[in-house]
Amino acid sequence: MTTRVHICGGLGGVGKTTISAAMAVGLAMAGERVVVLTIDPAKRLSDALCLSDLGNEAQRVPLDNCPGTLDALMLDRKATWDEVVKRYSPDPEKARQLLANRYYRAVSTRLTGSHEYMATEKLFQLVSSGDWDVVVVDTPPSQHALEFFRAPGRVRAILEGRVIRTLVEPSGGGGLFSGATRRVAKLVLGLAGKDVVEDISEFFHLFSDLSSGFRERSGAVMELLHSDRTSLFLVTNASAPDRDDALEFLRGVRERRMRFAGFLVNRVHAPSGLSRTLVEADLPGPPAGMDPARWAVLVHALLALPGQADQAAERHANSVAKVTAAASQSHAWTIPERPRGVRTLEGLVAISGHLPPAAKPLA
Amino acid sequence: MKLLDHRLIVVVGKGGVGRTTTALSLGIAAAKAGKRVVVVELGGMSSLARAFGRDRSYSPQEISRGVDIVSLTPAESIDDFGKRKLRVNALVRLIFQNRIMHAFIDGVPGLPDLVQLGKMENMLMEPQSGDPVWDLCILDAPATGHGLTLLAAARSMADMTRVGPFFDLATVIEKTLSDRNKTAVVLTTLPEELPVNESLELLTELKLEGFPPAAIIVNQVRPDRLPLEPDWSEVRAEFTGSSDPDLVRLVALADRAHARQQSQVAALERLGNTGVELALLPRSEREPAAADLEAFGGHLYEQLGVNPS
Repeated sequence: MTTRVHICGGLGGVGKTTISAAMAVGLAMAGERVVVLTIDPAKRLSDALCLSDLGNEAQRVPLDNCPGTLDALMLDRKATWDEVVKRYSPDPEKARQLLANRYYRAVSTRLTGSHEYMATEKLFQLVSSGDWDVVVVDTPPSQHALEFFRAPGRVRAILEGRVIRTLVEPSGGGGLFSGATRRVAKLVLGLAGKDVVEDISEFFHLFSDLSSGFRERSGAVMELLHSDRTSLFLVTNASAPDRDDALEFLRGVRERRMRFAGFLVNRVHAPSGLSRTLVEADLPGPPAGMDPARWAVLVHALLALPGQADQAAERHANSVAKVTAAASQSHAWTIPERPRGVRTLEGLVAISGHLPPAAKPLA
Repeated sequence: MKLLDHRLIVVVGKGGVGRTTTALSLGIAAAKAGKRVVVVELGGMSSLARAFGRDRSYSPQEISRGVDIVSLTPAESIDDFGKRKLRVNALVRLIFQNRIMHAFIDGVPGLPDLVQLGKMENMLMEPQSGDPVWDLCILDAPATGHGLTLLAAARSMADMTRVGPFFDLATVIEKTLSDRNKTAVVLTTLPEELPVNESLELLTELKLEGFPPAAIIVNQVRPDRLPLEPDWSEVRAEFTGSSDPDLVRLVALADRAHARQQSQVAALERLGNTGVELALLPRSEREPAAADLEAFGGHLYEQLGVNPS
């Protein structure tokens, strides 16, 4: 496996999906074979990439005059679970039973963290295929930017299921468990009801054949994420950078000894660039037939624009400085605001010019 | 029925659109309408408390006159469930604090949501003597599944369990959530193209699942920098062709301001076309603090508190 991985973390609403798509476009423009994996359940990336039915399999994105290639896919959590079960089950009958199990259906559609977990399974598939030079990963929406790295471990602990199995398998603990534990078990089972217990028990029985494979793949992905082939980016919003979250993210990244590649500060307003303060006399008069009072309202609004732009630019420059101060000597890239948003491939190409690898970080 | 006359308001929307701001502002608006309000968040989150510079707490803390906040966790909620619903003795209560019990809760999808919703339902509908009494509970729903996962939690839990105390709990919660005279869903969004696309998708799903939103609250609405009349696009030609470089730059600034304004007008129009009542909150250039939220509460009271929805 020589494929590199770029992860775009960050809170919801900062433009992570667009930024990761643009970064993938830029890498393809630089001649790489790139795939971008988006996880946001809303179809943002497919909007920006003009792909109406972005699915769980990589699809080619048509880029003109591009020396590399770009593929894109949107993670379908349930479909990925089903793929993995079918692929790694010892026989089709066991796969069928597992797919029909009610607890499995709940785990594969609703278990907290299973979105992140399936993202790592998908990442494993993409990386081990050897079809791409770089995988760009957009991370699922969450309250904490680090959730992408934490959740898979939690889900695996549940799937290892030692505690739950103690409860649902009468022979699970043998005589090892104390009377108190057996009483807890009895009470919990009473709360949950007999059917649930049977479903869960069947699930763990069927899943036991798959468990070691899940462990190995997950281990391989975690190793990759902690290696120097993985670059972590934190996307933040210029107008409301969440400094606490940035700090927590950096702390977590350092604790895990992962490689922090830098901040991507999105929607930065540029200063007005005017060399002097314009006054009414610099502007044309009203066109023939226009009420001068109405014209005056427009002129007044126009003359206020440079000051407003400079104020916003200053606020944003301060917030960039504040966020980057959180990580000494870390890189930062700023991405200018686009008033109409990003709706086309050309828009993504334009943004990619402000991102690595095309753009150098701020000094 | 007025929005603020419900017993429970569930605030949904994707991450980053200002759900917490909306939930707190609604709480303050309802207090202005004379209600005693509790704003609730789940999973041990601390977003509500952070807006007021405080730490999260499972016990209610008052953050504005008549408005309390509470941050629930599955573990604390299940302990209460044991105490209240089963009227269990101290010995069995220990069992609820047992690590096996908590591992079980974490391992069954939907169960953490269910026990927290159960706690919320108890707080609101069945206060015991000495407990605080609230007229209205506002739930800041988690971003997961844009809040829909949470609304559907009780239903899917009932499907999965089919019998037993958890099933009974799910049934009670489902009854409250789907009672339009008790529960209202409020959709939160931003006045931009992509968030609106996503909100319209979510709106369709919410209707499909039987939770049609009673109102849409649009956060971060920018003031109009340019007059609507005369429209910039009609008079732009008057300003072009000049050799003054500063005037050329001014035209570029006006183009950007106009584009931003147009895109906001279009977004608000699309939201207006849904027929759902809209309320707007102004853009704030920083993370809203206590004073901002008080002002936002006033805006929402004017927009939602007086007129019937």
